[in-house]
Amino acid sequence: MWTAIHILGSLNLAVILLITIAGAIAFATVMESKFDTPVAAYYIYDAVWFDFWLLALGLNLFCAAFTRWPWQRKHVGFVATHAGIITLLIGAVIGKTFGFEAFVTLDKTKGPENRLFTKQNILTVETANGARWQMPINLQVHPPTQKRPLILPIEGSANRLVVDRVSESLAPDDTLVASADLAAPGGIALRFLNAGMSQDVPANFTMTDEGRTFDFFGMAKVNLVDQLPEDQPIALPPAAAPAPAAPRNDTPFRETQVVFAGSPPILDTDSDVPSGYSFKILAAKSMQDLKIEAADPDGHVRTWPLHELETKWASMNGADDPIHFRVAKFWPDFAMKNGAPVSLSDKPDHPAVLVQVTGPSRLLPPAPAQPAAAPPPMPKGLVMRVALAKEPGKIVYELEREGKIEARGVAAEGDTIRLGWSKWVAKVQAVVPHAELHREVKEFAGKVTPMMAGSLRTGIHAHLVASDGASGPAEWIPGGTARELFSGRDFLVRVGFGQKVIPLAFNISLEDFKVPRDEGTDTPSDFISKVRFDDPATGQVVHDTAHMNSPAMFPGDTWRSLLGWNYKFSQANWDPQNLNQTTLQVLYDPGWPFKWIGSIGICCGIALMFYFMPKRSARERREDDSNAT
Amino acid sequence: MIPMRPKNILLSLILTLGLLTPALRADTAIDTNTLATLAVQDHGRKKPFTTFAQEELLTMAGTSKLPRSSVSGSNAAPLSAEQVMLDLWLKPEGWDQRPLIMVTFRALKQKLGLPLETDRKLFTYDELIRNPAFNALLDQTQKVRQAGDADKLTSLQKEAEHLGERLRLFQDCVNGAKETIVPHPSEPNGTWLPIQNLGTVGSSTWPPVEQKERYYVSSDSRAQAAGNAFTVWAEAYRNGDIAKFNQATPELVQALSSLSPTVYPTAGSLQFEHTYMQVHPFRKAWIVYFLAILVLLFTAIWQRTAGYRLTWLLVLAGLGLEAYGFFCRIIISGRPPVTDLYETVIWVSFVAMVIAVILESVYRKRHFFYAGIPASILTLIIADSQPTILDASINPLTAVLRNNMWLTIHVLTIVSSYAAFVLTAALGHFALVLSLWGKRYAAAQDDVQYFIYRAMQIGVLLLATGTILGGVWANYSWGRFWGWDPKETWALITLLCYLALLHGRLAGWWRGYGLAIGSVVCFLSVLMSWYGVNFILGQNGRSLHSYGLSTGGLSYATGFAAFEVVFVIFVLMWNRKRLATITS
Repeated sequence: MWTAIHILGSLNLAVILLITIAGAIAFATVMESKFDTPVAAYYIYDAVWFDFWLLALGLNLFCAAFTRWPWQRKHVGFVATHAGIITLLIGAVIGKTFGFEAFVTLDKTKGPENRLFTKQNILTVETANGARWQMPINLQVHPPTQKRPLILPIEGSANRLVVDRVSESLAPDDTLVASADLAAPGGIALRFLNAGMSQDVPANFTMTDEGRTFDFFGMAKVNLVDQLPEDQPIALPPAAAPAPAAPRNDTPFRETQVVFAGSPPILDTDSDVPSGYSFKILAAKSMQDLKIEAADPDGHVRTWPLHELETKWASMNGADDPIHFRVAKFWPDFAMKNGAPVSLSDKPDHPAVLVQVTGPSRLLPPAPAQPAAAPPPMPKGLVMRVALAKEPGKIVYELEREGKIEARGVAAEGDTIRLGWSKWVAKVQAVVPHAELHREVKEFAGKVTPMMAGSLRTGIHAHLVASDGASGPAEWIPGGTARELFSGRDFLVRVGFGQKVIPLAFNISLEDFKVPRDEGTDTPSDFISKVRFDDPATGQVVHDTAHMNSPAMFPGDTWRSLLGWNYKFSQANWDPQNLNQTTLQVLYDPGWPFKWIGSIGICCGIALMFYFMPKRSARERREDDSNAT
Repeated sequence: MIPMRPKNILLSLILTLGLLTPALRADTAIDTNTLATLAVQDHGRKKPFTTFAQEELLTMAGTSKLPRSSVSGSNAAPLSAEQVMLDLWLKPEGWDQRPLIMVTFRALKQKLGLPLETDRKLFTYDELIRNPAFNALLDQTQKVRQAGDADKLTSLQKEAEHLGERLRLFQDCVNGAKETIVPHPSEPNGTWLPIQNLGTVGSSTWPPVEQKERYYVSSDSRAQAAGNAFTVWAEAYRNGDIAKFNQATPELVQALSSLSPTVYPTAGSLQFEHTYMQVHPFRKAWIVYFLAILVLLFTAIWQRTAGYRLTWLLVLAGLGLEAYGFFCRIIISGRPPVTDLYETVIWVSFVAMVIAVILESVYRKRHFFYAGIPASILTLIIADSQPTILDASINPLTAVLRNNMWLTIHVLTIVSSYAAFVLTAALGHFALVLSLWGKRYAAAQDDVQYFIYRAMQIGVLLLATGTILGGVWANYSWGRFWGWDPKETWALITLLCYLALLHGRLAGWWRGYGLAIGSVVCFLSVLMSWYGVNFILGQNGRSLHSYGLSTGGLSYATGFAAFEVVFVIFVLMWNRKRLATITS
């Protein structure tokens, strides 16, 4: 027994363990920088062998402490240090087992939250007989492939679930289909096409709240309405013949361009004569450095800082130039979300701008002498309204510009509607009397354009295999959804894929969110979230503030704080475009007391060992040294 | 990026006009003490114009004084940062034809077809902005960024971007956008504006940038006064009448300050910073330490006691200078002084010296001075001589470092442990050099080996405490005790290395000599966690700890590491050979 303890607690073993652990984690940091964090975590930090190695170190420390038994006064520092490390390791194990780390996104304008999301991906499987279970899956290090699929047995049956692909670019492929439900309202599928730019924007409309409107990149609104006067058609005024020879000053125009960094612009002009101006976003690392390069039809090129064009009208050739332009809207990280343009972050990763160009017009007063003094008015926007016609398979449409109805007419499925929005036309893809939106997804293979980036999701591709090897149809299951899978042999399961959710017994709501900045810059100096906790069971209400490096706590008294029986909310993420919203990281860690007690033990122990040992003379020192050899 | 192909028409117009370029009158110097009371808002704080000038010239040209030879070929005194920046702002004619913008990256020079000689590092705005290869390179960089592959940028492309930023800085200095001297009317943290936004300054040709935002109406008598004061001041400078310019400075400052007296910094606080910048305490400190080590060496045999006392006096004087330097930096920035690489380097030199002084006062054997003073001198010289790698400018704290006293203690403790290890490694070098003479210095070697242990104890205690405090703090504020973040992992590796060294000694694997070897070898792990994590591993920005570090200096660090390895191998081989000859 004592021999074993002496071997396990030997200094030789200690040095070997110290050196090997140092080597392994040094290798892990190199791996992390060469590959990825999850790879390093999988092979080293979170690997079972590494846990065993740490366990071995713990055992070594434990035995080492016992080899000095019976302890004397001079051993206090030594025992405190080693016991401290063991306590710390125990705290880590308790924290990992019984605690959790999760996230919650709060919005000032929305109601309270009582669910937390973790970063752990899980599969939820539900069989027809009501059995339901969850399992974590790791998709980052070895994502399942067709060659190496993830095969999971389904309890209580001989069927197996096969996950054979993971995709991070699942794009919604919504189609309007006829509903079996005859009470379902009708729907219209349109496609906006711009032949010159080879752009194709689908838009589906149903009578549901979110299915009624479509925001055409902030330039136009398309609405589905209940009905439109079918019998009063208005013809769209014919497009003016292109007049390139006409002096520019005499050609009235008001033009809007949505300019992307990566893809061709979306153009609209009120006269069908493009201004001939083109704009380019010159990318940069920070928002302040973004520039807009403008080129006029004569080939002159000039560049402005973006922020300058946001605050004033500019012109190519000084005050005498009658053509002015400005940036009316700016999305640093452009994406289409729920049919509306948004910015995903404040990083100029996919910058897009809406540029307005205007020149003298018969409708407008002559060009102002001081461009900054009186900016000329711009079109108030374009509206398209559509409704189902009385005759099946047809729709009624109406086009409006600045509050004036320009065109109205009836179009049948397959027809193309001229819009007068530059080169854009709308094609009536489908008219369905009783419609439902079939929300399919497909893996997007081509280059991800900024317009799509916001709508892409991660998901898995799965199918069922019956005991006799018969394979059911495969489905993509995007994150946060569930799909029913058939084995082809009368067996059905419902498979959900998403992040693990942790329900809370109390509610959290965001009362205020503030981001103060360093003076004269956009650099945040702090993030301040005022939150309110309420526990419906006890009626307890607590107000607290989470700011950078200082978390909010619930329930939050001193004892609970010390023991870790507390939920801690600290700043994790924010959306620079939406300051109503903040994401907090939530920690619950019952291992906390072990961690801080262990930490104090280590620090005090080392100090005791080094500085509060009985004094030895130089001679004793030398003798000690020679004894050791 | 900067406007490349479309040349900024107004800018070039001004630069090539060359109407008023009277030679600088050397007889009257610019009164920098008064000029320092002119406040500029820059990089997140308000600073004296003199500091602003030095920092921006450093960014643009990599130096805080512009050699006159690079301007006119004469051997006159170098142009001060204030002169250059005032010229660019108020009298920019011809500056686009003078070498002012730094390009040192060899591959970039090659790509741009610039002369490759290492002593030619300054180039003119004009030759760079017109360089087609540079424009092509920037276009390329832009495409990479647009494709969302910013982390795939090559070092050549990154250097091209940095050059682009320097050119942009040049433009902003010339068109006045950089010199934000108009205070915000009410908010202490509000954005300041360039003088042209005052609305009461300027003609049709100057200033070149249109105002975009205004705080004060033109009819405001204070704005008019400030505008007039600026016109007088700028005209005096343009006409080369420096005496009049010096007289006009206080009037301009007074006029600007009265626009917003509560927001405008006091003359006292601005001059305090100016004095700090003038004194160069950290440069003076290494000079004093240098004297100290000379005295110590020359009195090794002769006049030992007197020499030792004088050394003590000089060391304390040097420490006093460093303490003054830290006091100033803390007062100016209002935060602890360990947030960027420069500050950690000077902090290491300071703490290494403090530890050496404490241990020397206990043991009084001169050895801590022999090792500690050169180590401190070396770190201070590194900090002083590499202004582009170790940026000495005082910047605001990043948000992740705010609000928490424990965090401050964590950072200070860790960096102090590096200082203890610097001292340990210096003692290790000392012991190894002594070992080359065999038994001749056996007693001294014994002492030094014991001192290595003493210094290493301090380092281990500080590093263990700092690392664990970091964990406790992170657990409290970020929600996890340990996250295997590269920086914290390397702090742990460093700690494990030294622990293995200490335990190996206890286990009898090695003794004093092995400890000396180990103190040098283990220091390489300190170098890795101090510098390497951010520059070798941290390129992908995966570390939470990667704030406040600039690029560069990798070749120096790897060179140092290689030298250390060679040194240790040499010592081992030399001593083995000697042992072999003795036994045979």
